[in-house]
Amino acid sequence: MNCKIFSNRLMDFVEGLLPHSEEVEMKEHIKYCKACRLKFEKIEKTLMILKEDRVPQLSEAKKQALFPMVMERIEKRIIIRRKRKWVYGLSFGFTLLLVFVISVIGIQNQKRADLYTIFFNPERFVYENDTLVNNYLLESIIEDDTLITIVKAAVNEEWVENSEMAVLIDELSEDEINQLVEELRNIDF
Amino acid sequence: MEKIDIQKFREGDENLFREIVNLYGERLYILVFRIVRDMDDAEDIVQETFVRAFVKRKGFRGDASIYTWLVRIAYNLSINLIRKRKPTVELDPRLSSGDNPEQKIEREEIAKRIVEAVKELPLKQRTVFTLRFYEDMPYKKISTVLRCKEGTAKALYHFAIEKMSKKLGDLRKYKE
Repeated sequence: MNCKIFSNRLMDFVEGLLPHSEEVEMKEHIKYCKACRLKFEKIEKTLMILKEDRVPQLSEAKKQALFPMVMERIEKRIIIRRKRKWVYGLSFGFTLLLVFVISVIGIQNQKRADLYTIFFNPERFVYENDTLVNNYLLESIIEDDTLITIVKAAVNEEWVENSEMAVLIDELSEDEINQLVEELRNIDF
Repeated sequence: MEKIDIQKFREGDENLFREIVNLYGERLYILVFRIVRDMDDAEDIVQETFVRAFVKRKGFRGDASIYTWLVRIAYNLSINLIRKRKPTVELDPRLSSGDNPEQKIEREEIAKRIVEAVKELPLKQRTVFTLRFYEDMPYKKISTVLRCKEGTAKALYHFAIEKMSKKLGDLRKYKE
């Protein structure tokens, strides 16, 4: 046996896992190889020292208290889980309700959000046709074709926001609004 | 008691669970202490191990022994703790004993060196070393705990011993 084989088998030798014949070879090797013998002795000594590694003992009281403490933790865990289930359930229900309400409001506002894009400027343009706009003086700018965000009207030569025009639009049906938008689009500036 | 009634355990039989806690509590504590090297942490991990075992009892199929399963849970909890914790090397004052002063100093020196050497081992090596050296657990079971191959467990143990041999080989064992 050479030293390399000895090294490879050393831990199995220390653990007593080698077959008898190999164990005999190892024992023979350390008889005449000082380096390998020292290596083996060093490990043996380390293992002896490690056996001295002591663990602070659990007191009898702690041993007795272990099961009650574990059960207490388990009960707390179960209560927390139940609470969580309720909170998650309520949160989920509330979220669903919120999504539903927002969707309904969104759908209702969708029609109007597409329509409020009308400016009135009485100084630059007079719109005389007898249409749904009636007697308002208008300049209209339709932004992004249909996105209507601001409603301003001039009443008695003063700019008024949220004027009767907004009220008028609110009261119009979808067909009427489409007609109005179309008319505004077709104004020749 | 190693032969536990799995069905009863899975159903949450409290008496059986009490037996399991009483049977393995201290053994687990010693094992975990050797890994985390802190008494309070070890106690806490042992309690948490049993809590998780009870909460997740339906996941225990009985492929491995209940103890191996508990060790697996404790090992995972120890990993989490050690990863969160900053590395410290200190002697646990509770290790002191009633020896004469000379012996006491020597014992403390040895204990300190052992703690240092063990703490320097990577966690897997430390666990394999503890399970093999102190628990005499077969490599097959160790490989179940660490979810690794048997050969890997063996190699890890050998690495651990070699490393500690380098660290502790110069110590002379105190006289009994």
